[in-house]
Amino acid sequence: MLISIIRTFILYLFILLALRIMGKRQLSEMQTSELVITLMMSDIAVIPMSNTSQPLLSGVIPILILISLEIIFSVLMLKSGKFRNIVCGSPEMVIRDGEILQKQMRRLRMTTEDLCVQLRQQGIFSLDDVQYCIVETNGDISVLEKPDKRVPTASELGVYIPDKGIEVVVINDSRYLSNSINLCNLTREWVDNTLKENNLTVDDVFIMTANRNGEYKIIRRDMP
Amino acid sequence: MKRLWFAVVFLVVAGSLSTIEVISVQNDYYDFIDTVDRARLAVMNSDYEKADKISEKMKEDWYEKEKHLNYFLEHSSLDEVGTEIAGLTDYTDDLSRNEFLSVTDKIKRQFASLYRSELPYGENIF
Repeated sequence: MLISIIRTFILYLFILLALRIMGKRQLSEMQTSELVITLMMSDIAVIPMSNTSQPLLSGVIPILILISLEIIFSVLMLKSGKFRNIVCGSPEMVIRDGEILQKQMRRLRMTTEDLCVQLRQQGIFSLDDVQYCIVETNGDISVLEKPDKRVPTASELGVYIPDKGIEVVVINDSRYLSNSINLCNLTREWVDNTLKENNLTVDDVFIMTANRNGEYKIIRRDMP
Repeated sequence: MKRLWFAVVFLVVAGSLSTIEVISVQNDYYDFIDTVDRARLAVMNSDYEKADKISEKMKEDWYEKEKHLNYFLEHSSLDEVGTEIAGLTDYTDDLSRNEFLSVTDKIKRQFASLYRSELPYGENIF
């Protein structure tokens, strides 16, 4: 049992490191191949974790190889579009100029129900509203609605909206978030001074958000 | 680009570990088989004292070998071989001569199977 515990610790740290090295892309926009590799890695790691008769290396080496292949393949895909097409396929259009391309849908083994589900998830409830629909390589769909159904943008309406920059959390649960503070070009001193102006200390703050213009919002911690 | 270097390092580490494994298991295999053969020869020549000494030495050697073989090979299979070796000294007399030869033959086959299963042959890969 103790061996299982120690091995679980080692493999957990190892998998964590592996996912970090593979990069954020791995977690946010998984391609089919990436999903397969992640599932394989978890399966491989489980074997030496539960079966202490198996050497730990029998799990570690295949994972090392999988990480290496994943990194090498992603670099090759970045360098060569052709290679990317071979590994990931290419985006396929299923609706063009409002017309469903049935042949393409058959080829993708996609039913109209599948399409409608995905459209509804994007807030589109009628096929008539769609001008173009593309099935991306990771299985998601991208949709362009017909011009009369699109939400007009500020520039189309001729409205000026000032750029306030991104609003980020600078204090979370009484902890300064240095990365966020840097992201909106502010400093720790500015945050401290703002708290002082409001007669607060960092311990009183549950969440504080700010933007590049120095506009901020503070939510105080509930008193116990 | 930094990630690519990680990938290269990982491949080198994995390749090196695999090579170390094959070389290490191979060396242990030939050493061990040689010792087993010497013990068998001693029994065949009815030199049971010598066979007993070799078997005792084999037991100690195996204990040492098993420590690093465990890093690469399935522990339960190694334990099976170890158990057989531990009992060898019980058969180093005239009455148990056939048992000794039979057990050593089994040990040789077990270890050979373990060793061969690690080699990059088609039958192991597919």
